[in-house]
Parts: sequence; C-alpha cells; structure tokens
Amino acid sequence: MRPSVFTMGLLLCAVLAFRPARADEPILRETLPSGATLILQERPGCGTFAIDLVALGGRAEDPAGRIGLTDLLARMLLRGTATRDGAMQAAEVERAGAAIGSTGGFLGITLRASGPAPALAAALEVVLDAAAHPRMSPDDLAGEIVLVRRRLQAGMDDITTLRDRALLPLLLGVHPLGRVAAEKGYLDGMDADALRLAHASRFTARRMILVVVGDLDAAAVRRTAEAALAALPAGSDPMPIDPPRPLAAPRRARVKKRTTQPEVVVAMPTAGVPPADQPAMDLLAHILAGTEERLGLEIRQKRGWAYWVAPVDWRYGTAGVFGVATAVPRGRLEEARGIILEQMRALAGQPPSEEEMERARRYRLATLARTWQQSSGRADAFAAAAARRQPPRSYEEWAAAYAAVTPAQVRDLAARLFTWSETATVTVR
Amino acid sequence: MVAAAMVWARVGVMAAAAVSVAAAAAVPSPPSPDASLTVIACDNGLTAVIDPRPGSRTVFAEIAVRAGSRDEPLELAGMSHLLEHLLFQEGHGAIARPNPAFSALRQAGALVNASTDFEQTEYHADLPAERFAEGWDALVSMVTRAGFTTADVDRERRVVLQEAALGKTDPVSIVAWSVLGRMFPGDPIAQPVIGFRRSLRRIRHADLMSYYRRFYTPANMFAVIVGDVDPQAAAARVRSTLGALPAGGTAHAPYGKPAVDVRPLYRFRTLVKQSYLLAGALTGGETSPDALELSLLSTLLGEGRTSRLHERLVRREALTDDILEMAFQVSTVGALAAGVAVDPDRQTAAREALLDEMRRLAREPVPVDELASARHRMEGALAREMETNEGIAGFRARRLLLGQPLEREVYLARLASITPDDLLAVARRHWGDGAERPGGLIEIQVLPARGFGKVLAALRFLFFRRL
Repeated sequence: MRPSVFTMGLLLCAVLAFRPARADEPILRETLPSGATLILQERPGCGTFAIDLVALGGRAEDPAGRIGLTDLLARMLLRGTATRDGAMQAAEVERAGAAIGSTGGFLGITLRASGPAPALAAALEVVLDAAAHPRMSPDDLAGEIVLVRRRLQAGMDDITTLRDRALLPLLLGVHPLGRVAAEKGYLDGMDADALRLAHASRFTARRMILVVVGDLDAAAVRRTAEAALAALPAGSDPMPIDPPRPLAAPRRARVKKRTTQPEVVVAMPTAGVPPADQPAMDLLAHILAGTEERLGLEIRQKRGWAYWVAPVDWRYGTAGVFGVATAVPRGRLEEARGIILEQMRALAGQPPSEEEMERARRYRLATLARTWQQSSGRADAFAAAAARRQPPRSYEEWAAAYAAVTPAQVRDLAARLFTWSETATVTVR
Repeated sequence: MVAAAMVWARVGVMAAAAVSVAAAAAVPSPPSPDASLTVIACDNGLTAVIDPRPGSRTVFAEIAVRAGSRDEPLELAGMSHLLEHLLFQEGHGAIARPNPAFSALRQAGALVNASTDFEQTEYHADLPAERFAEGWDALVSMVTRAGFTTADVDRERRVVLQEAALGKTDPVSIVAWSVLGRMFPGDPIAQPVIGFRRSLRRIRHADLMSYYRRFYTPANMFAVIVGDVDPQAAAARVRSTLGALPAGGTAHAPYGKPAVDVRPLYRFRTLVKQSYLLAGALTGGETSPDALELSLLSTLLGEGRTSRLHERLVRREALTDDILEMAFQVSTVGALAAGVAVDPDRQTAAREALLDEMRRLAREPVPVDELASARHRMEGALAREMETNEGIAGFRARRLLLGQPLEREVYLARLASITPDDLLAVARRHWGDGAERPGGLIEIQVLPARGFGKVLAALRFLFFRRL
C-alpha cells in the first residue's frame, strides 16, 4: 500500500519537529591497517570523553563446560598487564578524575573508561594496554574466581536474577543465550591457560572495535590506536550465532521465593531484530509496555495492581528475547499474564493509532537526546551497534528512522514476532 | 514516582592502589555553565533557576516543594508520597479519570517522573526542546491544580501498596528501616517515606488536600529549568505561570535535629544468603559545616578502584567486590557508613578490615597524594553528572533546597581547600576515641538466619509484610 499524501506530510512534519537546533559532528568509522575498527566522534567543548573497547566473542563463544569464562576474562583485564599491576592501572586513570571498568557480555568483552577530557590520553593508554597485554597471574586469578563465585551466590538474594535464571533455559534450551551458571562447580577447573587461550583468540584485530567520543583530537586518538593495535594478529571473525528455536508449545515455570512482590514475566525467543526493523521494534516495545502505555494503563492505571510494567527486550543480532514483566499481587498473576498475552495479540492484529505512534516517537527521541548528552551514552550506543555488526546511527538518522515507521509496520512486526514462537511464563512467588 | 529514602546501595566496581602518585593538578572542568545562570525571585515568593544548555535537544524542568515525610503526622506516614502519585492520575475505565495536564506531558514526549523524600517532593519532565512551552505549562498545571477525587485516592493507594511491597522484598532494606526506627524513635525520620500499609489505609482525601494547601504554595516551592531553551523566554514563561499564582504560604522553616538513641551494634538474623556488614557514624547532615569533608572521607574509603576498601577487600584479600554505601542524608542528620556483602564464612575477616579502615581514618592523616586522587574522583564524578540536563538540575536543585551557593565553582573551590588535617579532625570528631557525635562508631550486621532462627525470621518477614 502506498503512503498517502497526508501520511507523507505527517512524516515530514515529524522529521522537521525533531530536527535538532545544532547537528552533531560526524561519526567517523574506519578500519585501521591492523583490521581493527575505529569509531570516533568529536564533541568540541563538551569537556568529557568516553572510551568503549569491545573484543567480539563473549558468552556466545564460551564452551558449554566453561560457563563464566567471559566474565572472568573481563575482570582479569584490570588485574594488571606486562608493565602495570592492577593498582597502577586504576591509579593512572583515577588520579586524572576518570573511571575505568570492564564487563563481559553475550557478544563481547568491553573495557570502558570515561571522565574529564584531559584524562583521555592516560585512560586510552591504560585501556589499550589492558586489552593487548593482560598479565593473567594465577594468584590474581584465584582471587577473582573467589569473587565471581561470591557474586553468583549473592545473586540468589535478588528476585530479578532468580527470575531470569529460570526464564533463560526455559526459553532457549541449549542455545548459548540460555545458559546459566550452576551454583555448584562454577568455574571449577578454570585456569590461567584457558584464559590466555580465550584472550589470544578474541583480542585480535578483526574482532576489536574501539569507540572514542568526546572533547578530543581525532587525529591524535587515531595515531595512538593505530600504534597500540598494529601488532595484533588479524585473527578470525567472531563465530556466527544461530537463531534460537521457536517454542512449539507454551512453557511455564515457578520460582519459589519468599517475597512481598510476586513477579510474572511472559516472553518468547526471537531470531533477532534486523537493522531495518530496529526503529519499529523500539516503538512496538514502548507502545506495548512503555511508561503509561497499553499495559501500564491496563494493569496499573485501570486496575491498580502494579507499580511497574516493563518490556524485556534483549537483542543480539540473530538471537534475542522479547517479553513483558510486571509485579502484581499473588492472586493476580494469572490475570496479569492473560492481559499481557491479550495485548500482544491486539498489537499483532491492529495497527496502533497515530497518536500512540507519535507519543512513542517523541518519547524515544527524548530518551535518545538524554543519552546523547553524555559522551559515555553515545560511546555505548555506537559500540552496541558495532557489536551487532550494524553501523552507528546519528541522532538525526534515528529521528528520520522513527519518523518513517508506519503503524502498519509496527503491526506487521508484532505479528511476525508473536506468531513465530509460543511464550514462556515464569512467576516468582 | 519514587519514594526515596535510606537505601543501601552497592557501589560499582572499584579498585585500589597503594601506589604513591605525585599529587596531580586539579582536574580541569568542562566549560562552566555557571556564568549563564538566571535566578528569578517572583513576587509571590517563588524562586526559579534557569540554566541554558544550547544544543542539548531537551529541557529538564523541575518543580520542587519543600515538604516531605518529615512533615507528616506519624499516623499518616506515606501521605506526601501518595499525594505525589495522585497529581499524576490518569487512566481509563469506570473509576479512572483523565488528567489533561499529564496527558499533555505524555503527548509532548516528555519523560515525566517525581520523587518524594524526607524533606522534599519534586516533579519533573525532560522535554523535547521544541515542546518546552506546552510541556512546562502542563507540568505547572499538574502540580498546582490538583483535582483528584476520593475514588482516585482509593485506586492509587493500591498502586502505592504495590510500590511499598517492592521495598519489602529486600530483607536488608527492612533492616535499614528497623535501625532508623530504633535510632530516631517517635520521629518521622524513623518511618519509611512510602509509609506503612496501616498508615496508608488511614489517609483520607481531606488529609491530602489539607497537606496540599499547606505546603504547595509559591513561597514554599522552587523551579529549576536546564536545557536547550532561551533563558529570557523561559523566564517569561515562569513568571506568567508559577510566578503569577496568588501569593500564599511561607517558605518551610529549617528542620530541627531529631532526638537520637544510638547503640554501638545492631545485629539482625534474617533470610539472606550473604552477610551484610556496615560500619559508620551519625553526622550533622547536609547543612553541617563538615558535610563536604565527610563526602571526601566516604570517597577515600569506598568510591573507586583506588579506594581503601577496594584495595584491601577486593584486590588484596579477595573477600568481596560488593562494597555497600548507606545513603541516608537529610539537612540536619545523616550517616557516613561503608559496608560489604560477604560470604558468611568470611565475615570475621571482612568485619575486621572494615572497622580497621574506618578507625585508620580517625587515627592518621591521609597522605597528600591519596587525598588528591580522591578529590579528583569527586571532581570527575561531578563532571560526568553535569553532562546531562538532569544531572545539572539535580545539582542546582539540591543546593537551592539547602540554601547553598548554586555554582559548581564554589563547590569545587571548597573541595580543593580541604587538607589532610581537616579530614583527620572530622573523622576523630565523629568516630574517633572520645567522639563528639552521639554513638561514635556504629555497626550494623545482617546475617543469615540458621536453624530455628530461619522460622523466626520467616515469621518476622511475614509480620513486616503486613505492616
């Protein structure tokens, strides 16, 4: 169906309405001679910087018998290098007023640093050194294993952790995204050699993405990055991630936990969301489960059952999870589940109204604008896109993309999503 | 729509360094927006601050009322927060009522929320810049023209009870309230900002309206606007809306100091798998002259990978990487406290380390280079906070509430003036030998219940859930 002149006019108005007063500097994206990807954005005068260095190949590549490898490797990066011990890494960054950290994710390991612009050079040097030359001392590793095991144990006091530990295997079975660490035997047999092997295969040039945003000199950052990453072996591309299998029948699980706030989550696996569908997916998630939107109105405003309703929206390229979670009185869990399913079906059957679309667009852009006010917000967004093998989008490109989404596209996407798989439901009570 | 209060928060990943570093120069700050601040004093007593941030695409607008849970009768605990919810009322169905002001905010694409604390209730909207005028008008209308009904009160009470349940899922937060209850008996500070089930059920429409008329007056309110806005146009908008309201009420008088009853140790056994250990001291609150020294001591102790607790507990002894901080601070009383979540079989070593690091601060001066690093961590954290319009607004609003200078430069200059001797004196005064503050060093322990204790803990949990 061709869009009407009226629809085109609305889209044009929306684009104009979202036009920022001042366009950003361009996002510079290039492949360095070593094969590593460099993404830069200058923000003259902002006074801050942010670095995200991603090595692709995270939990998705952990062997089934080595759950926890990615998390442990991420932590060991800040336990010292050939030329700095862990204390020196921290001191060099923090005495300049910046902060540093590392995290292991499904798609990769990320080293992050951010702070006042004058601290950029020191932080960049520490980040690049940590990525390229981690020390992997067995003594430090022993300490980290103790701490990571403790983290797992501490998570058992947390309801959301318990909920997701039940949900993931139920939804995804043996798919890497569905794996959760067992309480017993976690990290048994993990040694420095295993970490060194994982590091050697993942921290290679073709898997490395360096994002730097802020009040910076792009040429100087490029020179530093080139020099630091030049000696990296090219390595292999990250392993492709198979889509999970759809659920043939609804599944249920219950987590027994003494709580004043029983929770229910209704979710389904997805085969990922293609780049072209990302804007429509954002609007769909907001219309269904955003603040004071359909499910918020039904469950919170109309019935007064819930304080919060939130989408569960995990996207990892060719695999993901979508659903809705809420907390309601114990006697309302089943009804809440029914309402969630009903609203999913409604969205898959009828296009949302123009008013809902417009509200969702504005909300998403206001949220994006807040993210864009921070160098670290932009760096995280660019790095997340790059990790999914998608180009980073500017604010203006997002504004145009949201403006171009039609109600029918949202309905069609909902129909594809909600008919591809049956759902899994987990209650915590 | 959050009931803020005392919380135990896990401080993010940190580390430490015993490396001796040369005292670096102060961290250069981003270009200061202080010079462009506009402060408006309206005839009706309202104060507003406008801080233009061109190119930031949004405008963060906040309207704050100088009243919170400290202003509630004990038997109506939770009233301030329930009222905050009611000003948002919107919905559909037989008992719901549309609120045109909130609808307009949503339609403008605003991120709208509010929070209630011990001494303040604030309403805010982060608006697309081109929608500022309509969004601001809607926010003013929402806060100043309450129109909720008895039916609205009944329904929103149910939502608040669900929110209250959220705060009772965590045994550690239950313990936190138990401690406050024992430290400040009979004072509203001792009660959860969100209230109790029984007190919430007592609150009537008339109680809320009476509270609303008393505190929601121009002289007792202030506004902060930060973002991509023309300051003259914004000032005119404030004057023609909030500034045009009839004069009435008075600004809230400073709060008094609550009576304190402190013991050196509070120990609880409950349904947790980890042991939660906390050590600290009571302080004179945010308006006390040594508040910034205490913040710096807190940073030295537990903020960042170079903090003392991270260096010792995480890097050196691998006892835990779960450093806790206790965020309890009002104008006239507060706490400096640090803590850890740790495996029960390692709690003895963790406790000794925690107490030793606290006492060391009151025993020996902090080396100059360590002080410089901690100061830079605070400066860097502020630089990151002030990247966003919301962060800037939060900084300005807090200082407006407390009657402190609004400029970041004043804060940074004061921070730069603190010496090792100042820190030693403050630590000694609060928890050193012969501390002047009541209580000295105080410990809180939340430990896993064992054996029959589990049954008792479950019963206590059930009982508290019903409160």
